[in-house]
Amino acid sequence: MIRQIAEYLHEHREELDLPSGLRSDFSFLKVGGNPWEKGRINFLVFNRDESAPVLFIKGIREKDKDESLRREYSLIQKLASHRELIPFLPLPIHMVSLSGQDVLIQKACRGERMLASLSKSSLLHFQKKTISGNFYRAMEFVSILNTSVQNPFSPTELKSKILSPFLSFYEDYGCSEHNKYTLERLLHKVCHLMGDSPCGTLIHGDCSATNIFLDTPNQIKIIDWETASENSLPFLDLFYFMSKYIHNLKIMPRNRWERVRYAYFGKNWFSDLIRKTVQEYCEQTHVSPELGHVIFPLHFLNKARIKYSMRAKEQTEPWMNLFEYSMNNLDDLCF
Amino acid sequence: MLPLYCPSCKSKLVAVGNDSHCEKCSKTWVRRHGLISFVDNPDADGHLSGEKWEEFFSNITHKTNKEIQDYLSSRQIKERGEYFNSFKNNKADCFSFLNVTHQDVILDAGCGLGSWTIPLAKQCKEVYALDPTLDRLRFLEIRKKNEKLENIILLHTSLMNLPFREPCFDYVLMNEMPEDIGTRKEKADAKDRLSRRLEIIYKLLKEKGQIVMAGENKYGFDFLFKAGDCRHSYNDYRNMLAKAGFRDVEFYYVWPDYRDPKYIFAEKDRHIFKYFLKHFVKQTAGRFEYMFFQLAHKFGWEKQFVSNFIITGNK
Repeated sequence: MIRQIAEYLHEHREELDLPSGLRSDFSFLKVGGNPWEKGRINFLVFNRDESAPVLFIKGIREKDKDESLRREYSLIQKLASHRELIPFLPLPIHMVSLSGQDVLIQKACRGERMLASLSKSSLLHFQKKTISGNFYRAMEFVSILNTSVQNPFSPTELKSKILSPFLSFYEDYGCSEHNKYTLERLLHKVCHLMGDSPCGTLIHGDCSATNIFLDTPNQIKIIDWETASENSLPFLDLFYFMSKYIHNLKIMPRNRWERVRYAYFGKNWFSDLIRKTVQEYCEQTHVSPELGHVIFPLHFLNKARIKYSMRAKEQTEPWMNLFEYSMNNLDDLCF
Repeated sequence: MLPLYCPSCKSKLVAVGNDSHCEKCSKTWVRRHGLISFVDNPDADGHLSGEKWEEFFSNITHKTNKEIQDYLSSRQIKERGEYFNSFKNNKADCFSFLNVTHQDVILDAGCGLGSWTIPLAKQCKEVYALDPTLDRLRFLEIRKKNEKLENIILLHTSLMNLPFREPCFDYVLMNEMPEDIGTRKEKADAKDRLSRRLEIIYKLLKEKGQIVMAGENKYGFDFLFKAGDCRHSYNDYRNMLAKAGFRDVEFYYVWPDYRDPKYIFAEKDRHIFKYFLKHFVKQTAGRFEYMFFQLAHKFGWEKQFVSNFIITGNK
């Protein structure tokens, strides 16, 4: 695979804005990817002796036609047509077929992942400024993303395309009658608050500090649009970013899941920060905080659904627990 | 399919019904559970008793991959994680760095549960998957059927007891502890055992054929503080491969483990190592490990301490 990619890159140096050189000048670092089934395989491409990558490449391990890469490519192209989103995207991006195998080539992000800015210290005091800054930057991006692309829906479409899948997944996963009823009521409230002319919102789907690059001090770039969805709900990306960020910290309490729960349902510095961030998001997107309140538990369910689809049943459970807790204690939520 | 030869006298085997017969030795090799077997007294995989194995197979036979995975995740079966994770395709990611084609014939010597066999069979002409543990091959046979991969030939045998006679493979693979492939009762020390296997593999490879092996480094950082099963260092592997006649030996660093390779890059790309340290090791490993490798890289010693390798060599 790498040989073919190197051949292609060498032949299209100018188009890809790469300096002249030999084919053998390219070297590859295989990074992450999805290990299951046809799963994705990713590479960072380095130019001769350069210490930073020049390109990021995604492929599918198996040659069978898999539409997910093409879908991601089309989506990024669509986003790139919105001027306000361009600074956040890893452009330029190319989609090529090498011996029948789809390959997505995009510019590698410079700088560091936002995740790298997380301190390993257990003292929150010295991290507050960085955390607030990162929450604000992520909120700003999510606001722009959520308001740039919206698809008008009828209330019936909202129910069938966006809300019902939550309930079906929850039923399939296995839930009590009481919790099923509570979720039905919650979804009914979402439907009611979205009014007679609701809109499907575009979400990234995995908006975490791992997928955000601090490209320059004032600019973030968002990578990995694999899980993006054009028809979803507002707030989901923002809530997920905050939950995952708090989960990733090394601070007390040591139990990460407890920490997330405590941040949303306690009275502490995080609760204040979350409240302010949600308020700011509502002001920028003109969405009501009440809607955020009822959508909140769904971001945990959404994550549980993604984890479950990746065969990680054991890793699904903590997200499901958070969902059920938040759904049943919504009155104690910090915003 | 390649012709099969008697592992003892190397005469061509003839088919007698489903079994293979050597006229010179007057010996018939009977199939076990439908698989070609060259092992007289097969040991069961030590994880489960014979009875438990039969229960296991009766529950997964004629089931889809998804059903098998659901079964594995819902039952408390010993070492179930290993079986569940064998469905992961990323284990064979190192082959992206090589040039496997649809003309290639591959010997997977010690195929285990087929972590390399299955993904590679989709890229090459044929894979001869051998393992001395019958239960593992039975599991792989089910996966082979589910994936409709007719080009996998399963052989119940060891590298020291091969039914091949001449150079006939484009690639020979050794996944897992290389010194464990073969009869476990051999008394020779680990280096001698591996050297003997490398010599055999060298002979089996066609001209310009390639060996691909995965192994741990006995001086690897991960094993400085905890016991590992690895018995060879970077230099040991290099010297043994050279002694067996392999040229252009290349090492690839595999992180965090060759059984679940998230990151892979070539030893020769030292500029990548620097980037990798800063952007991945620093985030995921402890501060000490990061500083240790920073220092090692400064002096050009990182290869001596990386814990897992994929190693390739040309005939």
